[in-house]
Amino acid sequence: MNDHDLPDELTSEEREAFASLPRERIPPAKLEERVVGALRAEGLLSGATRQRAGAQGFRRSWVAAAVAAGLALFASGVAVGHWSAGERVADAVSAALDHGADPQQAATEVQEAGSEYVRAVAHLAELAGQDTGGELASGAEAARVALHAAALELARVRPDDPTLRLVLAVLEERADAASDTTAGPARKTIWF
Amino acid sequence: MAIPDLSDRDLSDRIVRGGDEAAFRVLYRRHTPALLPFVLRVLGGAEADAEDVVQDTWVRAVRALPRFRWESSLRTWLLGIGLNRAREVLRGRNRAPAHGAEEREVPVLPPPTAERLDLERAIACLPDGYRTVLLLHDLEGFTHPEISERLDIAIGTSRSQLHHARRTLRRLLDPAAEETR
Repeated sequence: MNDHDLPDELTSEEREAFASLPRERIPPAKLEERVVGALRAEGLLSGATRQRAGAQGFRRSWVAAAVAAGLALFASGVAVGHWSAGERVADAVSAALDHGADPQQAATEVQEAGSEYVRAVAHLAELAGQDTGGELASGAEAARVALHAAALELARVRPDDPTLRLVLAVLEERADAASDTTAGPARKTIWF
Repeated sequence: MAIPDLSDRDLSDRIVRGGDEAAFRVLYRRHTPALLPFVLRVLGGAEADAEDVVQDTWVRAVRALPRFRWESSLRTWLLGIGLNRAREVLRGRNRAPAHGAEEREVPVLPPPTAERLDLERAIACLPDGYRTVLLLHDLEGFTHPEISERLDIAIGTSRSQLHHARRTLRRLLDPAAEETR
């Protein structure tokens, strides 16, 4: 007797069991943004339609302004030896959500605005790193720490972003190296 | 007519003609709830892989939309693309030997003393080839000739895979009962 001759029909209980398996499942919200982002990157989608542009325009400008304010605070903070921009970005994100922004959309907008922020801070860190004097050296450390804080904050709203993962990996590597040669306690005061 | 009320074909036309994101989001929300659990089951429950496959499926589908002839439903077409992509992932894991050799494949069974598994977990435990044929036949309602064409295997292989899949599944679900058969 070969395999095909064996009795193999499903019983009614088995049919019911198969029929009861869910055929649909709500996908994670972040997946939609991932897919849309991938299609945009391929040039297959042209971006948000005008229907949603009004409400989103308000949110975008609001969030971007908040992040820009965070950047300004960061710059002034470095000048006087403080670095609180990361907290400002966190506050901006929270406030945007409190004001009714769609979390996914807010995440996307913060990421876009935040990318500019991270680039600006990275540039500042680079400039500071070129100086061997004490003030700029501490500015470089402040910038690096703030960059790390900003990246962590952005990673919290966009955990799967590959660029942010890369930024974090590099920063954490540098932080580990720095902790081997410098006193660590000062850095701890910055995390939020 | 509001965008959410448009047919799959009208939404697809908007995407092809103007890269209409709103139309795409409607299409995505209409079909991804079915696509995701399907590829998740084919992949044996690997969530992260399933999300990657869903993303790749949509990218491939939107690229190919201008050539889609609407001889099947969009959902059937999407599931086909998802199935192909998921099988590529399985092959990449080196978990899916050639179908012809799978008839003698030894399934990954839990220890003999293991408690009964629920059906979902038991399906996930099946070897990839068994699981794919079982899902297509017993969950999605494909016939053996359709499975044969879709998976590029002989009809006899499809029948044999299904037989072994069901038998293995029964053993996983109720080891004691299966021993008495």
